[in-house]
Amino acid sequence: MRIRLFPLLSLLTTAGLAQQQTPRPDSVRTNVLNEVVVTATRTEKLLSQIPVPVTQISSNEIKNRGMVRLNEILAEQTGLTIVTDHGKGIQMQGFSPEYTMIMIDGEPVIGRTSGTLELSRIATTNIDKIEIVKGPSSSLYGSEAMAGVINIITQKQKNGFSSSLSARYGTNNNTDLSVESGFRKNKFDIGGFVNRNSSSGYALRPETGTKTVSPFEAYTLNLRSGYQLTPKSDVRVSVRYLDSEQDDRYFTNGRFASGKGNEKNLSIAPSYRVRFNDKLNSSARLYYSSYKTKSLYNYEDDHSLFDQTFFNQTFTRGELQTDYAVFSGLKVTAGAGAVHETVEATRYEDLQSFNSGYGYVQADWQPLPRLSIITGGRFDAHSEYKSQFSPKLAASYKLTDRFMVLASAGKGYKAPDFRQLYLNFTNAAVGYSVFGYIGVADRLKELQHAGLIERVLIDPSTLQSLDAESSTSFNAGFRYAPLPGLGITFNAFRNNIKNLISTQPIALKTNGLFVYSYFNLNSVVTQGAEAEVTYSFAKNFEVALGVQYLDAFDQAEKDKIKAGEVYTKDENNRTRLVKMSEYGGLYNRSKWMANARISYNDIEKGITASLRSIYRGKYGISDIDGNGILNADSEYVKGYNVLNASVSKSFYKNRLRLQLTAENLLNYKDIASVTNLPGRLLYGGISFNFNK
Amino acid sequence: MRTLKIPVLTFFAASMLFLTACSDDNENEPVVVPDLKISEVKDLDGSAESKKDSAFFNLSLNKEVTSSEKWDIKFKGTTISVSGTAQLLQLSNGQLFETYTTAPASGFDATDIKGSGSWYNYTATTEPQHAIIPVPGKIIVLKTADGKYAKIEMISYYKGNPSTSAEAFKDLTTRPAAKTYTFRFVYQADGTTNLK
Repeated sequence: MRIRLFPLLSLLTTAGLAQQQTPRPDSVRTNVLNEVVVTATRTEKLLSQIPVPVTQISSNEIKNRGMVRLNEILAEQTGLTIVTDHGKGIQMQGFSPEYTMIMIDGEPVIGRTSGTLELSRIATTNIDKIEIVKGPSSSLYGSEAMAGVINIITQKQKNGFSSSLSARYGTNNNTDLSVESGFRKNKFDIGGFVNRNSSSGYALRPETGTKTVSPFEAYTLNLRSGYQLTPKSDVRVSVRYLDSEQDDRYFTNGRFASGKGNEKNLSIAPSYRVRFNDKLNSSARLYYSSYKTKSLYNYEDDHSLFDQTFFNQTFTRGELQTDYAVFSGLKVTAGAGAVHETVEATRYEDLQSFNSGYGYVQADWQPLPRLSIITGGRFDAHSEYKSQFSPKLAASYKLTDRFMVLASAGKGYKAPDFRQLYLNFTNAAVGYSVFGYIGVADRLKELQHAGLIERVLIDPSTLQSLDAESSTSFNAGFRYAPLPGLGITFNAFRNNIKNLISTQPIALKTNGLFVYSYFNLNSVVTQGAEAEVTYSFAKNFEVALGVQYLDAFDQAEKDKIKAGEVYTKDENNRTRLVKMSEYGGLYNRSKWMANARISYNDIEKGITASLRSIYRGKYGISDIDGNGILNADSEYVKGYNVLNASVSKSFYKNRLRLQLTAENLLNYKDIASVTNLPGRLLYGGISFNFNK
Repeated sequence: MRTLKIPVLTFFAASMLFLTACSDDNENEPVVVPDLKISEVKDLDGSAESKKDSAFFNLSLNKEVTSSEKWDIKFKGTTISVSGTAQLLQLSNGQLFETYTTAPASGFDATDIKGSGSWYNYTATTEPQHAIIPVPGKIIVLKTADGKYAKIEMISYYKGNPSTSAEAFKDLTTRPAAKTYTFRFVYQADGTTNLK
């Protein structure tokens, strides 16, 4: 179980031997330390001074790699991996997708299914950059920001008129079309885009007559506008709308059923900002977002109804924030807000709604020129579960101009979600039931009256109120630029997570299956380290290497193994004890992940090319011996490597660009266990800019 | 560069300390030499129509019997019944089937042992799909109709006691026949609870 850092060390040593280079303006990351980040502190702050782990992805990087959806970009980042559970979500520092908040311009994207926000919903059109903050950020953003935050910052409109067209087509009829347009004159700006993304889906097992990913067609519309009211104040509004439809087909009980699923997401975000003076500015923001899905499936043979569902969610928030520079070196940020949320769905009783209010404060203090300290906290009060306080303390110190160490500690939390509170679901085909914490007592009584309960295992009247999941986390690392063109970052993390909510049987039904409800059950730990090295050389080349080591485990499971309470079967299926060295920790976590990249970027000739390799080490997927923990070799998915490449050439002063992109060049497939790899994907793209 | 070395090294040392603070192994399994004979029954066939999908077994005779003869344990699909009383126990504290030495004084009843999570797990849609796999560490302690104690470990629900992680087992078309039981047991003929 001992963690080896030697590979990381040797990697750093090798990188340190590299030769000196002069910086160049065209390099993707050369000037990274002079860039401004907003997500880490909710104020503009130089990346070089931020005491928490931050990664930025520029629009150039996204375009040079020919990427059109958010999942494609995030899949190539160090320490992140795409995991599939009711959609493609992100795993960060060993946390499942529901613990990372995804935002567009600081406003949360809503609409999760089983905790996963489908990342391919988000088009990359109009992105200026993506900021990724790792480590708990609940002190600023509240629930969900337990692993970290991914904030998509959209482009600011340039002066004059600009417009662009872009198209990408490839394998599986995957088509992405975007039209972007904008205008700015004096105090006024307006802009927007329309994007259409469609695919005929794919089938990893065509013989089943169903597809792994269904054919779909999605439209994204965006409109944004701003006006400078006075030299010191401005108003802005941004509207984003997604409408997606997919053709699903299922095989159930020997029959085919098919129909359409529809998804709509509307977001409206008006804001008002005043700069009173150099020291004081304030902003007021409103945000409304609705997420709706519906589906209707009929049997193909007699057209009778198979399943019909709907899910409607709304999120409305008002927020005020003030930044005040008390004196040179101390900046205080404070804000408060109120949220109203509703949900109505096939699997819930009635329309459910809840309210919450919050306040946060943060001090950004530079007591010494080389020392930066950020401290703050946020208090969230909620109508349905216990209030939460999330403090955070972070500090950075520049040992030299090129070497900065940073460390932070903080608390994160995630509120019980709708299904954990309100779910009312009985699987018609199999026969088990799952009820949310609110209403489980009533549902159980109904089943008892109907004579469907054989035995109650846990009396609902003895239930403790459901608490939010929470974590206490530590991050420590450094940013080191030993030479111009060479950058090294390192971060070690540990997250102690408690009160994880999961299902547990509460009663046995007469059909031999269970009734489940939600409980605060497990405490887990995720710890590890990541390192990234970027080096620019020979005028136009850049290489990068990233590695993450992760150890994620459940302490209670370790204790049980130690106590000799966990058994498995030997090769003859006879019972034997599980050894501690066989314990594999949490499912779906790779001990090792790595990525490597080489890119070429010649601005004069308008040529870019890059080759990226993304490795995901083996990870646990099943419990074949049925002892409840990950221990046997057969319970893992083999590690795999995906090779992506892209090449582009620009013409007519960068107005026209032609591009070829390949994902999974080596055509790696694991049909049984990895459903998000359809094999090799090839795309051709073209884009055209009209800038005036 | 030179001034940097010490802080950098200190930092690495600190990081490594931070990371290496974790567990040790305990891999000691007790060795007990059993006094009583452990009998293993291979491929008791409960799948035949003629037997109405049931198989009956007499532990003291260590042989399959018919429903009209004196039987101790009956297998019908995934349901296990006894002619006397029984209980399903989860081994703990590092005990194994061999080292489980004394039958409990109470807790026996005549109800059937059935349902996923009892003596077996039903895998449903996780690999290997739709399989019946005995739960590791579960044993059945039996008190026969004439008051004799026995312990039983279910080993397999499939013909030939196949490895459940084998490809041929995962594939439903090549999976060996079900309702074919392999188990081992210890029968104490002297009427005491000693099962060593």
